[in-house]
This record gives sequence, C-alpha cells and structure tokens, in this order.
Amino acid sequence: MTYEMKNIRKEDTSLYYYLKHVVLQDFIEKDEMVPLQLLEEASCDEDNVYVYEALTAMAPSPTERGRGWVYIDTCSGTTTICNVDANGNQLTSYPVASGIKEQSNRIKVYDSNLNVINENEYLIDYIDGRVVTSGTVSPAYIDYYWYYISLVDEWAAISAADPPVVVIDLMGTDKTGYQLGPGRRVVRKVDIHIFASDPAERNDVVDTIYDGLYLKCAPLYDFPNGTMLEYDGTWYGRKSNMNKLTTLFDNSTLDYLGTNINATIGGIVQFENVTSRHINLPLIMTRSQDEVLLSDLNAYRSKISFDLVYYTYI
Amino acid sequence: MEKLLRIIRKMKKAVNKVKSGVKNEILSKLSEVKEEVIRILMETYDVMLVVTDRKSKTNPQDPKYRDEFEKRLWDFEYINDKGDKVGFKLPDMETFDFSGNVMHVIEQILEGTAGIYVEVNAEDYEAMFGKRIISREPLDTSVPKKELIYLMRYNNVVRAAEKRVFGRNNYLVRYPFSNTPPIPLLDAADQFVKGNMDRWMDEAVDNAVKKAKRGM
Repeated sequence: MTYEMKNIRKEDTSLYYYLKHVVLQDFIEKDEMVPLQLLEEASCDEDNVYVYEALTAMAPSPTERGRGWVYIDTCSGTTTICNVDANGNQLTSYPVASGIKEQSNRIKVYDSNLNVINENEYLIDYIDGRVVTSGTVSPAYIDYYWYYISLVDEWAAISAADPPVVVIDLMGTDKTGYQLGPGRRVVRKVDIHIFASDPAERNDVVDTIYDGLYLKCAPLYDFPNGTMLEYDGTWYGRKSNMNKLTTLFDNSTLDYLGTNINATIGGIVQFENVTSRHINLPLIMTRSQDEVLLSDLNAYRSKISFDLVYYTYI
Repeated sequence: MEKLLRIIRKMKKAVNKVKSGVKNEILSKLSEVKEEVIRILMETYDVMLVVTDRKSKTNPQDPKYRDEFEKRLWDFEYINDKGDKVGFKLPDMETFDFSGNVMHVIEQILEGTAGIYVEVNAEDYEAMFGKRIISREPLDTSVPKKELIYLMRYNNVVRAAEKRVFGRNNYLVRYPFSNTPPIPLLDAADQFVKGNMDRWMDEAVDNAVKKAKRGM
C-alpha cells in the first residue's frame, strides 16, 4: 500500500506556503557579509562534507524555529511565487505545467578574497542556516535573505522563537454536500494567532495577513514529489542533482476530482468569513531579560479567523 | 361594503393574534434553549477547565470562578426582542463579560498561553532573586496580596535560580495552562443551536397556529 498525504495536510502546507511566500513576502530581511565558520563536529573529511555556519548577531535569530533563509526567488515586478519551466525559465502565467525552482539570487557565498563562489559548488541548509561543500571551495562570507516572521503550525512551537511569531491552527472541519451526487464542500475552520513584540508590529502583521486572505484564494498543491525542503533543510532533490535549473518543486495542484492537474480550473482553496480581533489580556509588562512574568510573549496578540473552503467530488 | 370591512378587520385581528402567538411561542422556546445552552457550556467548563496537579494554585473549579462564570452566562442577553423581530445570539470571547475582579483569570485561560510558565509566590521570588517582587495589579483582585502567585516564564535564569535556592529543578509548580492553545469553551453550544434552530422555529409556529385555531 502506498502512502500519500491526506488532503488536510496538503491544505495545511499549501496555506503555509501561501502565507510565507506570498502574503508575508514583505517581511524579509537581508544580512550581508556574514562570516562563515567551519563546523567541525558536523563535517566529515572522509566523506568530503564540510559544513559552515553563519555567525550572525541578528535579532531575532534568522534560524529560529519557523524562520530560516529565504529559499525561493520572486518573479520580477510581481508579487507572486516565481513559476518556472523545466529549464528554469520564468513563466508569466499560472497555473501551467511548471515548477518552482530553488532560489538563485537570494544567497551569495564568497571566498576569503570576496570572490563569489559558483552556486553549484555548495548546498544550502535553509532551516539551520548552513553552507555545505565537498571541499572544492572555501566559503568565508555570505549574503542571505531571511524570513523575519516565524511561521509555525503548532502552538507548542511558539515559545521556541522570539516574536513576531505566527501560528496556523486548523481547528475544525465541516463537510457538506453541494450538489446531487457525491460532491462535497469542505470547510476547514482556521485560526491564525499572531504574537508580536509591540502594538505597531502586531497591527502591521495582522493587516497584512488579513488583506492577504480577504477575497483571495491560494493554490492547493498536490505535492507529488514532497515539499520544497527536505527534512535536513536542503532543497528537495538537490543532493542528487546540483544543477539548480532542474529538480523543481512540482507545483501541480489538486482539481475537484482530487487528482493531480495542471489545468486552469480547480486547484485552489478560497478564504471566507475572514475576521480579526486583538487579544488584549490584562497582563502586566516587564522588560527584565531575566525575570519574564506572563507578559512579553502574550502581550501583543491578535487572532485572524477564517474558513478555508474548497470543493471536491470525493 | 361595511360587511367586507368587518371581515377584513376580523382577518387582520386573527393574523395579529397568530403573529403574537408565534412570537410568544418563539420567545418561550428560546428561553428553554437559553437554559440548555448554559447547561452545555457549564458542562464543557467542567470538562475543559480541570487542573489535576494538586500543588497548583490555579483552580478554575474554585466556586469563586465557576459560580461567577455561570452567573455571567445567565446575565448574558441571548434573546434580542425587537418588536416584530426576535434574535438569538450566543456568547463568544468578544461579547462575554469578562470584566470585574475575578473573570480575567478565566479569560486568560480561555485565550490560551504561549510558553511555559511556573507559579511563583512572593516569598520564593525573593529567595531566588534577592529582591522583592514589584507589586502589580493582579488578574484576581479578590486575592490577598500575600497569597498572590506570579506566573514566570520558565527560562534558564529561573531554572538556575530554582536549582540554586531549592536544590532541585521541579520545586516550582508548572502553570497548568502553559503552552495551551485557546480553549473554545464558548463555542461548545454553536452546533447545538445551529443544528436545531430551524426545527425549533417550525415547532413554535406549529404550536402557535394550533393554539390560534383552538381559540377561533
């Protein structure tokens, strides 16, 4: 028996990608000329694996849970994910038979003489913020973009990162018939919790997410080859294929029949009944770094609730 | 002509009587629904807001909180009687009255808490950090100052102080609602009301029509 993700996981991950790469794309920061240090405990001479870690003083840390380095490019002049064909050429329409390729202009690695190292000479671990080489080059510095907002999909992970943190919580499902026959209208109740470090930041994030959902829809990816990143933070399939123009993330979407398509209908989730409210708990603030009373992480909170809706025949 | 007007007047009177009867039936039904909603919500309260750690000072089952919560449920305006229109609404986190002295404790729990916290009293705080805790307005103003507990983020500094002063790491009691997502207690009756409202309305109309027929 083959195992495949159930639709709820595809919806959850599609929503995650939509928020991370489309809605929150303005919340991306750049860190330049960051020194790289060889991590000897993670490297192995026998296998020719050399792992370098970026030594950044950036706060919040770019590699905290839910953040990481930016791993896709955006299309020039647009605000959507850059879809490309099998040769890495940018496509102007969507959805089409295409994919999403690993970034090629978000990260630059330099040697000690500040010469840019060819991107096919190394792997990037986007989650932990590391550069992995086979020993043919000696990385010394790096420029990278990183996700300022920590986006996680479980409540327990909130405290693993400093604010701003955004949590996706798929909290309920209603399935109803919408026509004669087996068709169903699937409604997932979703709450998005926002934890910010001050009221201004909270308001910005809330309004951005609200506008990104209100009267909008998002692609419902099928993930036939898995997600964009592997468990170890590298681009899916990159370890076996160092040519960055190939091994794309397959952005096929699900149609109403629940099958993988690249057609122009279906393959989307709609957002309905979008509402937001601030959660103003009567908390007392303290700014001591050592003794944090119930306050800092819970002080500037907000919640966006909405229904994630799609139609299916099965 | 006069006869016709008399018939029309009579018909109008009958229609008004039925209308008024329907409204009364609906109001009566909604009063029953209100009682049932409160029962469901209190049952949910008793299931969801339970603390099993006996050492914890957090206790939503304390009659002070439980009774007040129930009282606020009874005080909530479920039925909105606007003359010829009747509305029914359920309390939610925005409309439920959490104001006052003690309800903020329950509000805090229902809204969810991110992070792991421990309950610290003023004495333990002073022992750990060598200074008195800054006096703050508590969530429950009915608690005497000496008995107040403070929820502190269980970070490395607090862990180290705990081990140094009390000799072990499990001395401080973990806040039982640490890292708990929002608790949808007030949503518990939604399905009950949504799923049955049409039937209740049909029944109320049928009853009103039957009574009107009997009175004619």
